[in-house]
Amino acid sequence: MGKMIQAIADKALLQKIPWGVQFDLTMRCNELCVHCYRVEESRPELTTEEVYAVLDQLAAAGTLYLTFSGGEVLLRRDFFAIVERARRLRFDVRVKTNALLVTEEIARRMVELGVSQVDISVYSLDPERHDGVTLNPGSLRRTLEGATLLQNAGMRVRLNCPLMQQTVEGYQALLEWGEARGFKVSFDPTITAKSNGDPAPLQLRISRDQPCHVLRHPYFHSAIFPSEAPPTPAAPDPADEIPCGASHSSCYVSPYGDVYPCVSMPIPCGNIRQRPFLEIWQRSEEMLRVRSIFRKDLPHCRTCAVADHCSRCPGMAYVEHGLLTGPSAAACQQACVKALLSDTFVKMEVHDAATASLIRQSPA
Amino acid sequence: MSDRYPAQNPRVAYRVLDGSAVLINPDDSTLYTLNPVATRIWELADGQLPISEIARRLYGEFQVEQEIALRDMEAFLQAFQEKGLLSLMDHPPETLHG
Ligand code: SF4
Ligand code: SF4
Repeated sequence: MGKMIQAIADKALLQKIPWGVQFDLTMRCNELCVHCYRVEESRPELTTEEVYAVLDQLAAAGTLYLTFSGGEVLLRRDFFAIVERARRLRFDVRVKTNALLVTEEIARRMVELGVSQVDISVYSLDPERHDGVTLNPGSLRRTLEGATLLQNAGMRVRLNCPLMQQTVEGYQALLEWGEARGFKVSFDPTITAKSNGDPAPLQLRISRDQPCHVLRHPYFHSAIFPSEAPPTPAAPDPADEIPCGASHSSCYVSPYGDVYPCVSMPIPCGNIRQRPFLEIWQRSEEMLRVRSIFRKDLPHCRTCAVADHCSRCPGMAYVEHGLLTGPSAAACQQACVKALLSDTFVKMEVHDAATASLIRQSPA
Repeated sequence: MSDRYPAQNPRVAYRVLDGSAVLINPDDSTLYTLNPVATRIWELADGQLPISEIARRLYGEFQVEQEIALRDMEAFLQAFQEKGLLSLMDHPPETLHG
């Protein structure tokens, strides 16, 4: 992260401004991705007017970065009216879509409205594998067409590939293909539990027999890597003292109006239909509970020897073990392998690439 | 610079965080942070106020010499116009549209 961006993020974090918000506009989707977190409920989704009210409240609360996601956002008839409203409120708007419905006209409108980036999920360049994740035959072809239409219209497009069992084979080909065509490409090993807390998608996470398979168990760390002192020296950066930005400078709003600290942390803090956003953000018991946890409160992680290699997600830790202060098995596994391989693999700046590199070098 | 009317480019995303405006130009994803004086100029650049009036207000609010305020502001506005973050109009929009 650039210094300036870091300084701004720190400021938002210290002042508890919900600087970045993911707002899912619908749980409906035209794909049925096997790892997806969405759960359609019988409650009605927010109406256009209700979405507008949320946008007004987020703008007043100081949110700058707003990501519209879902479900598939383009299934909402009022999608462009919502984006227009958001842009008028001067948010920096990003959109996550599977791009199946993108046409030349839609691509042009996104650019016109000043959407700053469109994120598109691609799972593989192999149609069988990609469509095997989306359970929608022909989806790879249409998704890549949509991505190209957006790019041709002048949009910044990022192809996102979650790293999981189905995608781990083909990530290198996707990276090369995307970069050769001027797309940003990103890989993320984080697979989120379902929005109702069901951890089923986590089974799809990458799990390779690693050189240190005994270390997979989160509680083995300190025994195998005895650590005298906390590994991370006290740093002045406030971001170093908290587990992550969830509840401090970011949160998630569901299509039903529920507010969560993060899309990966299924802890409902209140519903916008019942309480104003700011009240939930500033006063909900659950939000304040998440916000009260500092790194020093994490009994295992505090003294963990491989913490420097770890990108623990508190939401994941919560889903895995029901504990916001516990280790996350997924993070432990990755951190241990990274630590062991750290002398041999070239560390890349980007976390995703580092993980990719890790997997490449990890013996099967 | 004649007495023109600075108007923010409405495509620019921004929020004021702790007295400093954070701007993002969606067309090139550039991020800017403004100091408090520049933030005030940015906020007043609504297309309705002429440069002289903005300078007068800055003088009142920040105790800057009006001449210095005007000079610094012109440099700022010029730079921001070149970056496509605002435009300098000869008339406020109402006048243009009758
Ligand atoms: S680390 Fe996990 S809980 Fe925290 S913001 Fe990231 S995804 Fe959300
Ligand atoms: S989650 Fe990370 S910091 Fe915590 S014990 Fe596991 S490897 Fe260590």
